[in-house]
Amino acid sequence: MDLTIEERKQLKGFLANLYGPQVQTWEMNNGVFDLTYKMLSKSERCSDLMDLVPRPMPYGQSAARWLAKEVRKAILRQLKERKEHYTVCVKTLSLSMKTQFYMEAM
Amino acid sequence: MILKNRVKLFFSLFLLVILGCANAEKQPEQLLLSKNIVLHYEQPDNISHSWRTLILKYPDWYFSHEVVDPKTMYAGIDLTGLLQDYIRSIFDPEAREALPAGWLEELAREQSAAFGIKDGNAALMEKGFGSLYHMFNKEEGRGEIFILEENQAHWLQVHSSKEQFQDLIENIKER
Repeated sequence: MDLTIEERKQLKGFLANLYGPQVQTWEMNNGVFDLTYKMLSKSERCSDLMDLVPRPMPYGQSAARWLAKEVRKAILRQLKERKEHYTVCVKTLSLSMKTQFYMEAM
Repeated sequence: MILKNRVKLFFSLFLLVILGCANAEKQPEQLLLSKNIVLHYEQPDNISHSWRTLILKYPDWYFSHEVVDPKTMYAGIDLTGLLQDYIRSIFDPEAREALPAGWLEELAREQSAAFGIKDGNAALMEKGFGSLYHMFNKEEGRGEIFILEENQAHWLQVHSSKEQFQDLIENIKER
């Protein structure tokens, strides 16, 4: 299921905190959510957020489509409420994935 | 006989023109990264420019270029005056000791791990235009290139095969 308007807003808010104002021009689509999910799941320091997710997720699945709507909502709500914490825990990973985000969002 | 020679001459010239056109198409383009650095590149499928980042996309690979802004490399951290030392310290553990704060050392260590730098997949090349640090993460098919000039730092992020990555490095030249 595609992201709702509210979910897109929450995702954009988190990514803008990470990558700066350029994110305002990005399209918040399922691909961008999937990359964000990948980034969070790769970071050991964000493991508390991943506790919300039932595992294992089938390989190659889109997180935006596979995750139950409620789980996806809960992840985005956490990203909104603890934005600073999650920005810090993916800080270095976000740099290594920056061009991928551009490719998905443009 | 004269007519035959003229026909031969005509076809020879025609062939030369065709070959010339074909070669002209293969001439690499030039992207001027600074007054001292030029990147030779083949015509991509598309080029996009957003904010500070330029992306060149080919059918099976792509790369981006940006001049690193010390104020926005990381949200909430201003690396003004430290950028070159910081980038060096991502690649060189010994250079981390010269950083002015322990948390910066830790950040450089963490960035090095996030890029996937390990023994044997990163290198430094000293060029006429400055220092070129590069690494290739084979598992992720991603490479990072940082070029440190006297007054600025360039960053190229490459999603490609190792061979294409190597070609790209070889096409970064002094102007």
